[in-house]
Amino acid sequence: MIALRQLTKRYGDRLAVDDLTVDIAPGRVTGFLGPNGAGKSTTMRMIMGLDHPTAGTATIGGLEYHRFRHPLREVGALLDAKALHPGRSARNHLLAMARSNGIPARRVDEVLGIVGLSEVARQRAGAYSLGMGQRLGIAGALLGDPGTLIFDEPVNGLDPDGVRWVRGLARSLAGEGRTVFVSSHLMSEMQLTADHLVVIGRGRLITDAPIVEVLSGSSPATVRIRVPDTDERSDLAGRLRVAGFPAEPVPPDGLLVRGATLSQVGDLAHAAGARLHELASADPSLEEAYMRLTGDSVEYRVPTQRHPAPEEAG
Amino acid sequence: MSASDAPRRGGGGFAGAVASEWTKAITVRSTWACLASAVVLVGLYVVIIGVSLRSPAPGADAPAEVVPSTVAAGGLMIMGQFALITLATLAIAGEYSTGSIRNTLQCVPVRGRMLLAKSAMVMPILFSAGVLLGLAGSLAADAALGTVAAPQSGPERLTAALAMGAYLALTAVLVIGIGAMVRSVAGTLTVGFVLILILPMALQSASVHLLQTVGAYFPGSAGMALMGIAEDQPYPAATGLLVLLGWALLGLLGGMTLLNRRDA
Ligand SMILES: Nc1ncnc2c1ncn2[C@@H]1O[C@H](COP(=O)(O)OP(=O)(O)O)[C@@H](O)[C@H]1O
Ligand SMILES: [Mg+2]
Repeated sequence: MIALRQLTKRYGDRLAVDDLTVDIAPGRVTGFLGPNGAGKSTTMRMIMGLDHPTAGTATIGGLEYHRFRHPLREVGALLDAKALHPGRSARNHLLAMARSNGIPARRVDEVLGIVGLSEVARQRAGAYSLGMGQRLGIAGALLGDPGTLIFDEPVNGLDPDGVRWVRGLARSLAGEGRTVFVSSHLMSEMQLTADHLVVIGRGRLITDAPIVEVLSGSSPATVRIRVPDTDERSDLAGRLRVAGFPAEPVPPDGLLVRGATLSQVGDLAHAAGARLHELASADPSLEEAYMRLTGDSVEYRVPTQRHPAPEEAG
Repeated sequence: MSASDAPRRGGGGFAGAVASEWTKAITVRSTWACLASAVVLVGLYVVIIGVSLRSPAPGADAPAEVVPSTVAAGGLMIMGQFALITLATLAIAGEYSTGSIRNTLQCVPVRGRMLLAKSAMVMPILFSAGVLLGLAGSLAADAALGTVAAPQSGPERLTAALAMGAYLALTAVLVIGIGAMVRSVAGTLTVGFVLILILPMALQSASVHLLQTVGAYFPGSAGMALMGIAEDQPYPAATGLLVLLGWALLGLLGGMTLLNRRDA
C-alpha cells in the first residue's frame, strides 16, 4: 500500500504536485494517468525519496522509503531507464544493486532471465536499445522480489511484443497480491492494463476510481446510427432533439446521439419511419473520457472516492 | 509472499552499501585506466627528474644527493594524483553526469550512508595506490638517480610510502564531499585542484606572511608536510595528517549537508 497525504511539490514558482491525497492499494494495477508535465514522475520520485516534498508525505506500508533496511526488497522502481553507467554490463549493474541490499547473486541471473536479457547480460548497458534498457530497468525493480512496484512510463520504447509483456507482467504481479503503480500519459495503455485509475492534471487529483467507473461516469451513453436517406435523417435528428437527445451528424450518413439508450433511439426511428443501416452503442473510448477529464472542464469530473483496501493485503 | 516476509535479515546497511560501491568501481574501465595512468605518470616523472638530478645544479660543482622517496612523492604530487583524484571524482560526480546517482539512492536511500560508503570504497583504493607507488617509485628513483641517490633504509621508504597513501586516502574523501556538492565531473576536478594545489601555491608565493601561513594549511601543502617534501617544513608531519583529516571531514560534512537538503 502506497499512501500519499497532501503531497505537494513546488519547483520555484511552479507547482508540480498539488495537495495529492491517494491510497494505492495492493492486489491490483493502479494506473497513474495524466498528460505530460502533469506531475507523475515528480510524485514517483517523492515516493522513492529522491525529491523532498514541499509539503505532505508519501509512505509505503506506513514508512518513508529511506526507513527500510532493505529498500529494494520492499519497493522496486523503474523511474528512468537511462539512469545507469553506460560502460558497465547489465549483469554487473544488477550485481552492484543486489550487493547493496544483501540479495544473492543468483537472483541477478534469475531476473535477467525473467526480462529476457540473459543472452546480452555481459554487454555494456550503454549499447542497449531503448527497449532493452527498459527491460534492464524492470529487472532492477524485480531484483528484491518486492511487494510494491512502481513503473514510470514502462512501455516507452518497447516494441509491441514488449508492450504486451509489460502488461502481462504488471497484471501477474498484481495478481500475486503486490501493489503495482504504473504511470502513462496514454489512456489507451491504461485501458488494457489498469484496474484502477488515478488521474492527475497540472499536479492536481482529477479522479481516483475504478476504471469502469471512470468510463461510465464520465459520459452518458452514446448511440451511433446510420440513416441513408437525407430527408429521413434530418427528420429523425429533429425528433431526437425534441426528445432531449442532441444528435450530431457523422459524415457521410451517420448520427451520433448522446444521452439515449439503444431502445429509445430505435423506437424514435421506428416512429419516424426512418430506414436504419446501423444502430449501435458507441461507448465513449477511455481516451475520450480522459480528454474530458484532463480538459479544463469540470463538467465531467468524476467524484473522488475512497475505496477500502482489499483484505488480502500484500 | 513479499521479500519483507522472508526470514532474510542479513546484508544491506552500510556493509552492503560499501560492497555495492566496490562492485561498481571494479566493473568500469575508468577505474583501471586511472590507476594505470597514475603508474605511468609517476614512473615518467621519476625517470625524467631522477636522471636530470644526476647533473649538478647551475653554479654548483657537484650534484647534490637526493632521497629517492622524495622524488616519488614529488611525482605523486605533481603528476600521479591527477589520475587518482579523477578516480574519486568519477565515483560520485560521474554518477550525477550519467544519472545513475538516482539508482544508487534507490539502493541506499540514506544519503549520509551513501556518501560514507563511497568514501569507504575510495579510501583503501587510493591508500594502496599511494603506498605501492611510493615503494615502487622510490626503487625506480634509486635507479634513475644512480650515484646521486642518498642511502635510504627500507623502513624509511615504507614510512614515506605510507605518508603518500594517507595523503591520497584523505584527499579522496575530501573530493567525494566536493563531488556531492558540485555534482559535475569537470566542476569537481576544477574545485578540487584549485583547493588542493593551485590556491596554496598562489598563497605561498605571495610576499605577505599571513597569506603564506594560510597557504600552508591547504590540503596540498599539508600533504607535502606529511610526506616531508614541503620547501621549509612549516609544521611536523603529524600536523599535516591532522590538517588533511580536517579537510576530509569538512568535505564530508559539506557534502552530506547539501545531499540531505537537495533533491537527487
Ligand atoms: N527538477 C525539476 N525542476 C523544475 N521543474 C521540474 C523538475 N521536475 C519536474 N519539473 C516540472 O514539474 C512539472 C511536472 O513534471 P513531471 O513530474 O515530470 O510530469 P510528468 O511525469 O507527469 O510528465 C513539469 O511542469 C515539469 O517541468
Ligand atoms: Mg514523466
